[in-house]
Amino acid sequence: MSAGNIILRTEKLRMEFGGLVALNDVDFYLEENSIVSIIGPNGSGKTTFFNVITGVYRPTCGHIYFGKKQTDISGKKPHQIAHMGISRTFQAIRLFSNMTVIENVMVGQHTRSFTGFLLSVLHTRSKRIEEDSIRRKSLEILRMFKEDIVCKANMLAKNLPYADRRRLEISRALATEPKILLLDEPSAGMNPREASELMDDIKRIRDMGYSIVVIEHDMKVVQNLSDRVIVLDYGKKIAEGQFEDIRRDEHVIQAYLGKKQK
Amino acid sequence: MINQSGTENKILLELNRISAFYGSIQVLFDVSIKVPDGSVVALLGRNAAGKTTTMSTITGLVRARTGTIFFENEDISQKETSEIVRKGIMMVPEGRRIFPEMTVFENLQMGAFIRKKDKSFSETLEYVYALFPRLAERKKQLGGTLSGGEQQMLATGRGLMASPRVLLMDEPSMGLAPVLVDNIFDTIRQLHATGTTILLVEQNARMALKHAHRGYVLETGRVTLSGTGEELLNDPRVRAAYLGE
Repeated sequence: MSAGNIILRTEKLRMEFGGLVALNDVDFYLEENSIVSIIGPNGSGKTTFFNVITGVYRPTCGHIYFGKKQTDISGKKPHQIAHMGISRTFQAIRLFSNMTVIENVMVGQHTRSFTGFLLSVLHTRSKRIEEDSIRRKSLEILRMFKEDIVCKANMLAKNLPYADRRRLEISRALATEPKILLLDEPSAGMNPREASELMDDIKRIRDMGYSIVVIEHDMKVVQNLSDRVIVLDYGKKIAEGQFEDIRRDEHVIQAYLGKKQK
Repeated sequence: MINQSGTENKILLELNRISAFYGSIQVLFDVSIKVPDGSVVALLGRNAAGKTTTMSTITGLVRARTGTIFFENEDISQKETSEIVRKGIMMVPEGRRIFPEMTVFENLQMGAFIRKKDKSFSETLEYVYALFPRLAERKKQLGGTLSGGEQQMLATGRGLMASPRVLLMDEPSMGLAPVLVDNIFDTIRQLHATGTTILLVEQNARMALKHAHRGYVLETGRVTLSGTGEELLNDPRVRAAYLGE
């Protein structure tokens, strides 16, 4: 993978909730066009890390630099950060379950559309043209996964099989036209075959030019997917590097993998 | 951990040709499952195969339209959920169904609401805290502020607090760190040793079958395969579909 430009970097990122230090001065970087996995025990701060980067929480201290110009985005609002090009999925899938598959993706394009309230209500020509183009783009995004899901474009999201709901959530994130995708436990609740199909999808997305951060517990997925791995424990980064090195790290075995994994 | 004596035991829970519907859509077709007393039985299948629905018919959350569910020689298929829980069947739901506005300790107390607060309450509590030290660390914290994996631990701990006869576990290892997945299966082994009967739904089919006396494979609402844990582990169809080989 390209030892390329750094697209996201955190510097001594710190998040405290009352007395609890959820993130303890975390230094992190993500190279363009690569996949970094974050692993660590439950409650070690992985999802909090995503929440701070996407602006759900304002960090107590530290900085987040994004993009070629290394803009400091710490403290910006979630919608501003989404607009700049960071998008995410959630641990427990969050879709608009009573909207169709294609509508769920179209919502993701919201950040990139221009027609406002008034023009929409008046159902103007410009509004219709824009909506058509959004619909077309959304279909293209779904097509990145597999033809099968395109056929289901008009189904209600809640009626999709579980693994496809996960794909839909990723599609919606892609519809915001991000540079960086943050995926929170994408393979959770999938059997080995479904997980491996999803892995291929994620790698293909990286190869299309996206930069990806993944939180995962499935070590097969981590091994297969990651260009680099970082390990959190009690909010602190305790290791980082290639998967093979991480796997042998005594701290990581003790805190996370357990002895049987040796 | 195949316990040969398990095969001799009487059947504690028996689903006999169960069908179930969501609205007009049929999701279970003639599902028959036998759970011997003191055994560990695994339920495998793809997502949307009907595993959770099967469990929900046992606890009465989904009504079986036809068929019977016998627990200790009594048909419970038309009974209220509260009554079924009182009889000693407890479900650990998948994912994050905890009480977010209650503390960790209060959530665990809720699990024990059907039993009197006696000495065994604190013993079970000790047991749960020993199993998940993180819950002990965070016992005064609100459930909703726990991380996803910690909420999963709490749901499992809450189920254990009832000391049920039958524990229904819906994907207990989901979202947990590898070291805790080992803990979960150690727990299943311990519970089994103390005589608890366990019906287990797991995506981690390999671990589930290793610990199960019997396994059933569900496909689109029908039981398509069954056998001992070992038979299924070695079955090429299971290996291809569920073990990722």
